[in-house]
Amino acid sequence: MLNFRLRKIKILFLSVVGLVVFLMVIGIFVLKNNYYFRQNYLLMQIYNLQGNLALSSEKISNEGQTMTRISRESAVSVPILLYHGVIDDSEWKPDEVNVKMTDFRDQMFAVKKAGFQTVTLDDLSAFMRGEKKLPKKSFLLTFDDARKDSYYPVDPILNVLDYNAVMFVIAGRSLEADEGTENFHLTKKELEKMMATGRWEIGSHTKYGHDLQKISAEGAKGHFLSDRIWLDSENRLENAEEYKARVSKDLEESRNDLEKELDIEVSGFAYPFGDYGHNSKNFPESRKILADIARKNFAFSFRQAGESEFIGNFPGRDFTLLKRADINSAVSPSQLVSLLSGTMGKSIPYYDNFFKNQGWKKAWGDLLLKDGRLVTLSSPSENGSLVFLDGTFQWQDYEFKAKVSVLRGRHFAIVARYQDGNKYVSCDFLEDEAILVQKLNGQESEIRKSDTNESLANGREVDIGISVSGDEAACLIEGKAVLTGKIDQELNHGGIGFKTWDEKENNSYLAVKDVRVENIEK
Amino acid sequence: MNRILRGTALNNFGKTSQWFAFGILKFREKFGQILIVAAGIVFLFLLTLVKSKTSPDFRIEPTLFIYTIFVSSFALSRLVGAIFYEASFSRVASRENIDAVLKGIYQPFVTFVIPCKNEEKDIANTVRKCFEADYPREKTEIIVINDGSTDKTIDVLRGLEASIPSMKIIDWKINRGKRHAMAEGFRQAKGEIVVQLDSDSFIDPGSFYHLLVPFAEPEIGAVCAHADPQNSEKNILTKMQAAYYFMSFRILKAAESTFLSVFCCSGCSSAYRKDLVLPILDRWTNEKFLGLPATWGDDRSLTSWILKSGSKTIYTDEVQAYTIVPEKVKQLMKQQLRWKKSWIVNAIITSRFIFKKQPFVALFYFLPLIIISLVTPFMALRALIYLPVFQSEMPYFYILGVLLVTSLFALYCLILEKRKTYWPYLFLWSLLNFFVLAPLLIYAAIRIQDRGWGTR
Repeated sequence: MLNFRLRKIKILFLSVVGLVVFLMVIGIFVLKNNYYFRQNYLLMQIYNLQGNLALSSEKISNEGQTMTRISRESAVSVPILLYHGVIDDSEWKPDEVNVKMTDFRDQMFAVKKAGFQTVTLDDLSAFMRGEKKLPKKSFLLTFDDARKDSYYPVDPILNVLDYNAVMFVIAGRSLEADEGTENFHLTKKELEKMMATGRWEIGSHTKYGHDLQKISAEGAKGHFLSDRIWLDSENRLENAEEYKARVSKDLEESRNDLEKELDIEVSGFAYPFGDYGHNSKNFPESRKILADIARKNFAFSFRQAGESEFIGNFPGRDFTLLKRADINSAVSPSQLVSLLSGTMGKSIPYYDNFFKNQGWKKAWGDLLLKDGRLVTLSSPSENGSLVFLDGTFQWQDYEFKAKVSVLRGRHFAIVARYQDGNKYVSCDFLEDEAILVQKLNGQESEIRKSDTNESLANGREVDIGISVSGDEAACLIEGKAVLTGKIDQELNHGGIGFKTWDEKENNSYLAVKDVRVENIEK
Repeated sequence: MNRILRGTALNNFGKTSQWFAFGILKFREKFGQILIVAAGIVFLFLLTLVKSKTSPDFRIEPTLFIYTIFVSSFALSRLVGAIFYEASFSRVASRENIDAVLKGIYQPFVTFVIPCKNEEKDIANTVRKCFEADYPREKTEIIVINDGSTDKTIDVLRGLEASIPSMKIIDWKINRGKRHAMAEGFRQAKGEIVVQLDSDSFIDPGSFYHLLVPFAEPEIGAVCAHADPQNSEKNILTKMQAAYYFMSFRILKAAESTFLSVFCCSGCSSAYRKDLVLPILDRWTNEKFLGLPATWGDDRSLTSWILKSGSKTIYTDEVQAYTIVPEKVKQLMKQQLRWKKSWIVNAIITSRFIFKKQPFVALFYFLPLIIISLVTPFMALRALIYLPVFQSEMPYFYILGVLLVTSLFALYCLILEKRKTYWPYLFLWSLLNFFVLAPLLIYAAIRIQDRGWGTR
C-alpha cells in the first residue's frame, strides 16, 4: 500500500537525479571546450591584473615610446629576441630553454623603461629591404613552438607594455590538437583568440618538422629538416631528391595550413632547434637546399645567433636569414638592456675607457671589466679568447688603437673588420714577430709577417693598433705601422675586437685600456 | 494525558506563531531561500566546472570518466532524496496518524530498554528522561539491564526505583554483551513497541510521542529518531561531529527514509515493533560472521533483520534525541573503525536479501553505495599519493571537488539546522573523512576478524 503511494516520489526522484546528471554531463562537455573557462584563460586574467599592478608600481607609462619618437635617429640594425616557454611556477628551476614568468616580466619592463619598442614582422621586412626606417630602439620579440605557456603569461605583459610579438607555430601540432585535451600547445581556437588581440603575428615552425627522426640503421636520431632519414621499409637512407621532396612538402604545407586555417598570411619561418643545416649529421648539403626551400616559401627565416655573431640584423645583407638572441632566466634585466643597447650602431670616432660595458661581447673565452680596463682571458678549458664590440658591424675605414698589457700567455691580437668569429682581419703578436692575418670562412691566412725584435707579451703596457682602409690593412706598434698588406673584398666592413691564445689551456690574460677609434681620411 | 494535551497545544502554538511571523519574516525568509538556492546553483556550476577540468576525456578513459560522474551523481542523489524526505514522511506520519496518537486511538504500550555498563554518571538522567516522556505513564515501562557494571551503576539505579515505579532492573553480575542485554530487554518487555536507548543517550520528552506515530502504519517495523550530540560544545572534534550527525541524520538517513528503508536505525535512540523482533531474536543474538560472533553493529544488524522480514523502516526528524560523542581523537577513531567494520559485515548480509525485498532501493542506492565505498578509498589513494608522487600532479582539484560537494550539503544543513551553528564544521569533517576516515575502510576490512569492542 505504502509502496503504491511512493511511486510518485520514486519517479520524481529519478527524474530529478537524472536531470542533474544530464546537466552535469552536458555541462562538463561544454565547459571542457569553452575558451573562457579554461584554466589558462582565467590565469591570464590574474596575470593581467598583476601586470597592471606591476606597471603602476614601476611608473612606466608610454613615455618610453614618446622618447623614441622624439629622437629622430633611426635604427641601423634590429635585434630579435627569442623565447620559448614562460613558466609561472615558483618551484621551477631555470633551464636553458625557458624563462621564469617573473624574470620575463622584469626583462620586458626593463627593456620598456630603457625606451625600446617592439616592431612587427611587416616593419622588419620593410626595414630589411631598406624601404623603411625604424626608431633607434626597436626590436622584434619572438616565441617558438606555440606553447600555451608562451601565450597566457605573456599576452598580459604585452598588453600593458603596448608590445607585440611573433609566435612560431608547429602547424601539425597546434592545428591538429584536440581542443579539449591538448594541454601543451596552443590549439586552433586559441590561436584565433590570440590573433584577435591584435598583438600577435604568426610564423611557421614547420608542420611535423620539430621531431627527431631515425637517421641510421642503428637508430641514431637526427633533425627532421637537416638530416636524411632512414627508410626502414627499404633499409636505406633517403636520397637527396627524397629529402628535398619531404622537406619541401613539410614547409609548404605548414604555410598553407596556417594560412588557410587561420586566414592569415605567413611570411616568417623559424628553424626548429635553430638548426638551419649547419648541424646536419649526415647531409651537410642540406644547408643550401634548406635555404632554397625556405626562401621559396617564406620571406624570412629565423635562426639563433651564435656567440661570436653580432646580434642585430642589418638591412640589405642576406636579409632572408635573420638572427635571434636566445633569452632565458640566466639573462638579467640589465644584461638584456645592455645587450639590446649594444646592438645600436656606434659611430666613429669611438673612445672607450671601460667604465661600463658599451657592448663588448665574448665570442669565446671570458671577458670582464675591471678598474677601467677590459680584461679578456681564456676560460679553464680553452686556449684563448676572442671579444668584440657590438654595434660596430658596419664600420668601414678606421684606425683602431689601444693600450694593452699581456699578463699571461704569449700570443695576442688586435682585431678589425670583425663580422663574425670566422670573418675578420687581425694583427697577431707572438714571440718576436707581428703577423697580418685575415680569416675568411673559418680559414686563417697570413698576409704579411714582420719581426718586432722583442716579444710584446712581457707584462708591460704597449700601444698597439690596426688600421683598415678599403682593401689595405696595417699593424701599428706605438703609433707606427710595422707592416701593411691587402685584404679580401669580403672584409670590406666590420667591427673591432681582441684575441688571445696560448699553447697551454687557461693561460692567457690580456688587459686593455684606452681604446681609440678614429676615422681615416681617404 | 495532560502532558500530551499540553504537547498538542504547544504544537498548535507553533503552527499559529508561524502564521503571525509570516508577514514579517516572509520577505527575509524568501530572500534567504532565494540566496541559498542561488548559491546551490553556483556550487553545482562550479562543481561541473571543476569536473570538466579534471575528468579525463570520455573517449580516452571512459571508465574513469563514468566513475567521476557516478560519484558526484550519487552524492547529489542523496541530497535529492533528502529533499523528498518530507513528502514521503508526511504520508506515513499523516495528520490522522498524529491525531490517533494524540487522541488515544493508537497508543501502544511502550517499553524502554536501556542496557548499561559502568554508566554511574549518565544513567540517572537517561532513565529520568524516559520517565518524563510526554506519553500516558500507564502505557510505559522502563527496563534497565545492568550488564555486569563494576562501578556504582546499580546503586544509582536502586536509588531511582522509589521515584520511578515503572522501572524494572535486571542486574547481571557478569558482563554478557550488549546484544544479549538488548535481547533480554526485548524478551521481558510488555510493550508492543520497544524503544532501545544507549545508556548515555536520551530522548527529548516533549517530542517523544512522535516516535510512535509511524507505527500507526502496520508496515512500519522500526523508527529512528534524530540524534544530536549533547556534548557538541566541548571542543572542535565534537563540533565537527555535531555537524556530521546533523548531516548524516537529516540528509543521509532522511534520503534512505524517503523510500522507507533506513539501513541503520541507530542504537542511541530507535524504536522497534516487538512482534517483528521476537522471532529473530535468537538468530540476531548469536549472529556470526566468518565464524566469529558479530560483536558490534547490533543496531545496523537489527535493522537489517527488520528489513529482511519485509517491514519498512523510517527516520523521524520530529523526535529529538541526544547522545554523547567521543571527545578525543583516539576514541573517535575506535568508534569509526567499529562502525566501518559493522558496515562491511552488514553490507554483505544485506546484499543477500535487499534485491528481493527492496529492488528500487537496492538498485538506486544500495548497489551504487557499495560500488563507491569499494572504489573510493582507492581513488582517494590514487589522487592523494599515486598522482602527486609519480605524476607530480597535486590533488588541488580533487580536494576542491570534495569541498564543493560538501558546500552543497552544508548549504542544505544551513537551511534545516535551527541553531545554524555547526554547519561550517562540516567542511572540516569532510576533509577528515576524506583523508582519514575513508581510507580507514581498507584498514577495517583488513582487521575485520578483530572482534574487540575497543572501549569507548
